Amino acid sequence: MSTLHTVNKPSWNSDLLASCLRVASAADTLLLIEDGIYNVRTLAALAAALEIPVNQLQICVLRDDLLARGMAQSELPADITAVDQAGFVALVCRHQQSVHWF
Amino acid sequence: MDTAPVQKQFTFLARRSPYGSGHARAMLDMVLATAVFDQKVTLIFLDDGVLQLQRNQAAAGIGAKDLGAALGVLPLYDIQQIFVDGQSLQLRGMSPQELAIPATVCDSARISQLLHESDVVFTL
Repeated sequence: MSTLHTVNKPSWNSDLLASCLRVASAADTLLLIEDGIYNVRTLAALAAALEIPVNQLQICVLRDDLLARGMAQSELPADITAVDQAGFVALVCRHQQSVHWF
Repeated sequence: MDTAPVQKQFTFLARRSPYGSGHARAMLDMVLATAVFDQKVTLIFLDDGVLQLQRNQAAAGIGAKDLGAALGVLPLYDIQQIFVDGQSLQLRGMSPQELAIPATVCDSARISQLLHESDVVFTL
């Protein structure tokens, strides 16, 4: 059974991402939405600091939120995938449950 | 009876991200309204507010207007005193060279000084 986690705030002014990473398990997917997009820049450092192996997680970002915030798909690290709104729905359907961190 | 126009130093502390809430847009409206009344305006981007200065925002996909582009009107309102906190930029992985509009990079001591020189300070 796998879980979809959505995070909507950056790690530098909330502990949402850290809380999420602590309980996320290997088969889960992390989807960054809204201001959670900014975690793209700090995710690796945060995971290292928490000693959490995030490379087992599938990590996605919502493309419209990414572009709105002035970042391009080409800037994404290789292990982070951009999804569109339909992709968001597909992720919800593919996972047993969704957990929203907000 | 004529009275001399009152001119005060207004300082605005922009501390919120551009699309996470309506705060950033509201602050820009306040800044422009203040300038229209011929007041002295200083605008300081601090904390998540520096994210408003990110270049190449494309907000149509989330049903919003580009805030970075909207900030381009500031010179038309003769708002020249625009500062950005260097530490806030650094923490968010942003470079002073990649900002949507020109802003003077400063440190917290300078911001402290700017606040002291103000008659009115708004934070949003």
